[in-house]
Amino acid sequence: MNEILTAAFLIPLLTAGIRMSVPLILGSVGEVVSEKTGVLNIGLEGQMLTAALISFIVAYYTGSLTLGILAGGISGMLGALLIAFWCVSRRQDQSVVGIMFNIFAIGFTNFLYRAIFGVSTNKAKVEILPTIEIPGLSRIPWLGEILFRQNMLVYLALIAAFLVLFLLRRTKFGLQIEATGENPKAAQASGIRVRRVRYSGSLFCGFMAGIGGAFLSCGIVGTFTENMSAGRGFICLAVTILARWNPAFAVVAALLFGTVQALQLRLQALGSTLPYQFFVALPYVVTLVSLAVFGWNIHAPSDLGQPYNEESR
Amino acid sequence: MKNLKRILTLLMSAVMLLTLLAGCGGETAEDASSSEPSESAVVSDESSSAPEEEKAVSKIAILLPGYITDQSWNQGAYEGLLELEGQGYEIAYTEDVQAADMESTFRTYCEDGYDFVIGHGVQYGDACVRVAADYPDVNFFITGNPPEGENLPGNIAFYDYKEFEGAYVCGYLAALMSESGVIGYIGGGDNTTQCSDKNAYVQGAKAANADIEVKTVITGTFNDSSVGKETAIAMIEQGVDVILQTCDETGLGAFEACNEKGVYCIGYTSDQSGLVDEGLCLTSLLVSIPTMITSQIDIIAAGEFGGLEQPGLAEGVIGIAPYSTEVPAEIQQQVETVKQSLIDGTLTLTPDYSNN
Amino acid sequence: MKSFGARIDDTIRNFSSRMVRQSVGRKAAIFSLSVLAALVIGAAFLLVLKVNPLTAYYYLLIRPFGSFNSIGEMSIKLVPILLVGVGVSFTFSAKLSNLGGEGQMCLGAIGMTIVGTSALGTSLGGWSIPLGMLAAALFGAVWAGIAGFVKTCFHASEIITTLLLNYIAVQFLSYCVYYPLRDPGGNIPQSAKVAAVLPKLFSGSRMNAGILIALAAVVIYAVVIRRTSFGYRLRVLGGSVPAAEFSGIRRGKYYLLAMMLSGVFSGIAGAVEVAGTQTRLLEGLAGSYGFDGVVAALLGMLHPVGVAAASVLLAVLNAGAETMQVKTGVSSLFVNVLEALIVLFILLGMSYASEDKKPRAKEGAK
Repeated sequence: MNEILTAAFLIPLLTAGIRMSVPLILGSVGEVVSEKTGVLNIGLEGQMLTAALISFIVAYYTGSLTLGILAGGISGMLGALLIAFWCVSRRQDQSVVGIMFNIFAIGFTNFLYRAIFGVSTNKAKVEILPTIEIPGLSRIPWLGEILFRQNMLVYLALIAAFLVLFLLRRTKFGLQIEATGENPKAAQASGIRVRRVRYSGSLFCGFMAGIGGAFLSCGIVGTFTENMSAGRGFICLAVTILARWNPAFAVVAALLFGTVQALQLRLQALGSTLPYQFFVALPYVVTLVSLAVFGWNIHAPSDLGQPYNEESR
Repeated sequence: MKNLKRILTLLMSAVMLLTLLAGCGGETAEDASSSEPSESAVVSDESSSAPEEEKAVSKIAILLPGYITDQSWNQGAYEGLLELEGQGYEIAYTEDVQAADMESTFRTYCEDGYDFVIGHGVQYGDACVRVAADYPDVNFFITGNPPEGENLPGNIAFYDYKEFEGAYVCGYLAALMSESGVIGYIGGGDNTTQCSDKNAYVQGAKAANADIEVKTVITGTFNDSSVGKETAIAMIEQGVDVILQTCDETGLGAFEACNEKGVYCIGYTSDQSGLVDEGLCLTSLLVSIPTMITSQIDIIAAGEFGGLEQPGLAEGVIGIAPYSTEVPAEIQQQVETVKQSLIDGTLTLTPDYSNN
Repeated sequence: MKSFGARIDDTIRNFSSRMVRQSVGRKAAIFSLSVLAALVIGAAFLLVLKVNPLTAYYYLLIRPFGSFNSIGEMSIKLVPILLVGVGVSFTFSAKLSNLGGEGQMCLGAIGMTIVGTSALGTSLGGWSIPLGMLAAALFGAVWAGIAGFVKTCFHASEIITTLLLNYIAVQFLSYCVYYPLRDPGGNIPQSAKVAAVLPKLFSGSRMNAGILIALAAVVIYAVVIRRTSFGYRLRVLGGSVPAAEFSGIRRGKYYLLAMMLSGVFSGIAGAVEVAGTQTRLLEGLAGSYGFDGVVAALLGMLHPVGVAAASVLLAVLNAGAETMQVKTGVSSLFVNVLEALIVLFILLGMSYASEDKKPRAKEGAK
């Protein structure tokens, strides 16, 4: 136990924790927006996975990571467009569409990778994002190392979270988003274009999920592996609930889960005998418990998951 | 209803168009489609270049626990297969065969007329025993030790190669090369091969330096390089300065970490020194997988197939790759002595399969 | 203000009621068109991989029926899908989106293994199977019950809770095969063999008695959902929550019961996997069966025969995928693409079909 509380252990742990929480931050911030408009985007996982592949392919062939990451964001948006069409325009059940999209993504990414890279014993690789040291700030003891020596996307994710918070609380569009999610009928009556707001929310979520997915392939390992997203999209759903649909809390929750993941990898090397399954399951257990414990206090968007029919009544 | 009709017409035209394209561009099953991007390659039998004598087997298939891109365990098997293909056999493989699918994948190959089926890893033994009883004419080969307490069918050959002998030597080398007094081992799964490697590594290290500290991690996956990378980073942060990895794709991630941090590493299955900067890879624990597989063909032809074999360093199935330039001559000498003692039997090891 | 959970409940209402209102002929047309459309798009994908789609589809769809052995392989996949599908259909009838088939299967498998590998199980011999099934049903019911309980008492969405429980269950199963239930003889993460195994029905095929259990499940479902008051109450609850409450049906109680019932079926699916197909507990045992069951329930539109037929389709796809992979080199994951497309097209078709019935509304404030 003493080994854990040393700076030598904690600093790299937290640094890694931040690194591992980036896709979670991006995904859950996007999901917060989507759910606030009333659309439950379960297809987040599939969007992340597809984006991981697309961004990798683009980065590989253009040599530019920026282009790759952007492409990832766009592919996430395309996936969201699909889902939004089925859920918002065609008013189908959001969880079913989301799940089928995830299933589709697994098969599709497998197909696309094979189609483009074929069979070879050499795995395609790209250069990963370089670490950026923020001058001055990175010299602060402790915080400097943890927070200010990360790659570009880490900083972007944190900035995005606070921008979204600002958007939701302080702008007119933010109010429209809340209204659409709470009571679409009243919103429509007051002139808000419910469908458009929901599409926007979904597209934004898809974009964020896409960047998150791009981070997986281009930000950490530089390759694409089968089913790379490995359930992170679902953790984002959990984070969104845990954070009570507040983007700032989402960052905190995502960091927490990311750190637990990082901790799990290190504990075995430390000689811990706790089964690793315990750690992998931990984020989910925590979310489940919080759903129960805080359940009646949580105020979700009242219309969440409900297809909206403009023409009824 | 009008819309439905429109959609129907559209679909029908699309179907006809595609059938046309398929007829022109595609190949029929009889030609054995050599689909380039495939997970399970099927190549046509080049009967024209076949040797004159009647082949004991003609269709060879292998079940792989991971992917052929791992520069290690699975790639070695794939290369063995390619060699056989060059000799005129029809080959096929399936990657990433999960535990629950092992038996059905074995059966699919058997039903399809494959007469030499390989399960590449000790974890396939159990499923193989179940299937082998139903297909007495098929030769099965498992690269691992046989499951205990079973009545083993005669058409399975188990190759319980002594990888741990190599791991012992690597541990010895690592302990001598370590400056910090802490070395590391990263394994992929909780099975007999990996555990015996881990324990032998520790044993060998302690034999070189009784005070050495060895950190071991079984990551639980052979196919996730980011896990390997994070684990290696964690180890390096704790002072480890030599790492042996035996976990295929996961190990590639560990190698990346070692490369980034300038830490010594030891490779697995094939000589992996080319994967990192000059000199960083001290050596590799060689397992001559291609030979393992191709040699079986002759055994089958000779009618001696089946049973259990336990080759190790002495037989050349396990080996130690050439040392890197960083290893001083005296240390090389010492390690060679240890290796030789294992080969000529003056030192014998009993594998320790426990995972503590 | 309706609570979070209540709102989620209403979600499926539009979906399923619309489906039910269509005529059978129309449903069949939409189904066939969707399958056709999915196959056409899939064919385009296959052409990109330079594989002849007709060949691939032959191995995917026709070959599973080709031999005695292959029918057996297909039946092995059919059983868990059908059992989970039936279980999930109960909950869907009450408009609950129970996505926890995978987790409940895992728990059921663990229950069966505990009985089958215990001293008691060994001494009971063949009787360990019914006892194990009982344990499996219990474990599955409890696991599903957690989601039901959280929904009833805390109004949490069962979509999220069942998904979370899936992940937890998979890790729990992994833990079990690595530690407490691990086969002391070998050194691989799997349990010891269970004391008794479901008998095979015919030699030359792996089809086992599980298929009989699955068929019984369909019959039970058909009877319960249509002929019992319990089933009636579930359907009323699914039709309109206010109407149900008005007639005295306590929502919380029946949600919980429906979830637990579906857990029983999914749990038994897990037991059959252990005692029938795998003979021991392994990781990855539940595979995609959890979601396949949900898909089967939806494709079959909650009708017993429909769910059975849809399960057969999914089983064929799963079994054929392996053959297709061996013969043409196309990954078995490709089937995911087809499955997803089929369901999405059916949903699309349904949404357009039901729209024809509604009078064209004026374009409101858009």
